[in-house]
Amino acid sequence: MTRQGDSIVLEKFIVRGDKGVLSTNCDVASIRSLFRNQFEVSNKIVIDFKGIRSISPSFAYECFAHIYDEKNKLEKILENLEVENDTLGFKNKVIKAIQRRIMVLS
Amino acid sequence: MKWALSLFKGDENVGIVTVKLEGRVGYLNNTESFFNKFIEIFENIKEGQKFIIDLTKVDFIYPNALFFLLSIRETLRNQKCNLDILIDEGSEVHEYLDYSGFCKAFEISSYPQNKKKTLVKKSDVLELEFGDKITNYTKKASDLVDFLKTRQSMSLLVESEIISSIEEILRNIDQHSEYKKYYLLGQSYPASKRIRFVFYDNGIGIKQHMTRNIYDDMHKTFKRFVTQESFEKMKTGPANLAIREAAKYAVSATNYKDNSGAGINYIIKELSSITHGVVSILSEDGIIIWKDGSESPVYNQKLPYPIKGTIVSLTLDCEPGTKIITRGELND
Repeated sequence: MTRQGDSIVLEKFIVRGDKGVLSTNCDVASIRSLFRNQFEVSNKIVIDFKGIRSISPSFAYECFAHIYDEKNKLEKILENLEVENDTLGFKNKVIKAIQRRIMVLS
Repeated sequence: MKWALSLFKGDENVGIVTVKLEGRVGYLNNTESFFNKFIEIFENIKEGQKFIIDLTKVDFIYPNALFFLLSIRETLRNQKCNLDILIDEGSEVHEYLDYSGFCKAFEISSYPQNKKKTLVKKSDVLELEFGDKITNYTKKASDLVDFLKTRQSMSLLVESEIISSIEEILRNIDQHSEYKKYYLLGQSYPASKRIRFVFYDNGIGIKQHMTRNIYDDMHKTFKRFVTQESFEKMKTGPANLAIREAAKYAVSATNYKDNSGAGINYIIKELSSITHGVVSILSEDGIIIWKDGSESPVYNQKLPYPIKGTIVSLTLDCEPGTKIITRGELND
C-alpha cells in the first residue's frame, strides 16, 4: 500500500458499522503512521477519499495534523498533498487541520 | 380540564411554590420573565419543598426551553423536592410534549388517544432520545441524519458536516460530562429548510470540567492559550468564561493525545459558517451563542442562577445560500 506514489484508501479504515464516517473510533495512530511512511518514501501524501461520507474534525486534527510535530515538516505536507475521489471537499478539511496545528506550534 | 401529575413526592408542609409561564416560552425571547421566575426558587430552596410549574397558559414551548425545564427538574430532584407539571389535558402544548417525546422524559401521561389531532405536524418533531449511556457516537450521528433525510432534503456536504459535528458533541458529553442522563432531540422545519439538534446532559458542566485540576496540570495541555490569571478567573468567575475557553481551538482539559480540542471550535466556526448556523451552549450559570461561523459570540451572558449540566443547541440551514438567518430567529 505504501509503494511510492500509491494513494492510501481511507475507506479501508472505517470501523464496521460506522457508515462511512471516519472518526477517532478508527485506529488513528496506525493511519497516521501509514501517512508518515508514505511521506518519507515518496515526499508526498496521496489520500483516496472513496466511500468516505464524513470526517470528524477530531480525526482530521489527530490524524493529519499530528503526522509530525515539527512546523516545517507539516508545511511540506501542505505543499505535497494530493487527493482522489474528493467529492465532498475533504482536502480542505485536512488542510485546515494542518494549518491550525502549524498555528499552535508557532 | 386542568391536569397535574406528581413526579416525585416531597414534604408539602415545607411550602408550595407555583411558577406560571405564559405565551411562547423560549430561553431567550422572554429571558426576564422566564429566568426571574426561578431566581427566588433557587435562592430559597428547601429540602422537601413542593414546586408547581404551571404551563396552562403557555402557547408553545421551544425545545431549548423544554431542556431547560428538564435541568430544573434534575436540580429539584437532587434537593429531594417535589415537582408537579400543570398542563391542560388535550391542549396543543400537551400534544407537542407527547409528539416530541417529552411526556416520557417528564414522566407525564401521553396525549389522550381519543383526542389525537394534527395540531402539531409530526414532520416537524423528529426524535427525542434519552438514556443513561451514549453508545457508538458515529452510528448514532449517522442514524439521526439518515432519519432527518427522510423528512427533509439536504446537500451531501451539509449531511457530511452535520454527521461529524453530532459525533463530536456526543463524544464530548460522553467523555467529559460525567452525566447520569442525556437527552437528544432532532427536529426539522421543512418549510424554512432548517433543522435543529438539542443535546442535554445532567453532568458536571463545562466550568467544573475545565477547572477541576490545578493550573500546573492544565498548563501542559492548554499551553499558551490559558494563562495562570485567566485560569483563576475561569475558576472563580461565571461559567461563560469557561465555555469561551473550551470553544477555542486545540484547548482541551485533557491531554491532546486523547482529546484534540478541535470539535467544538469546528462546529462554531466551520459548520456554522457552511450552514448559516446558530450554536448555543448553556452550561451551569453561563450561556454563549455564536452564529454564521463567527468566533465572536452574539450573546455572552451570566445566567442569574445555575442549571445542572449543559445544553448544546444547533440550528442549521439544510440548503445554505437560500436563506439568511435574522437576529430575531435567535429567540428560540
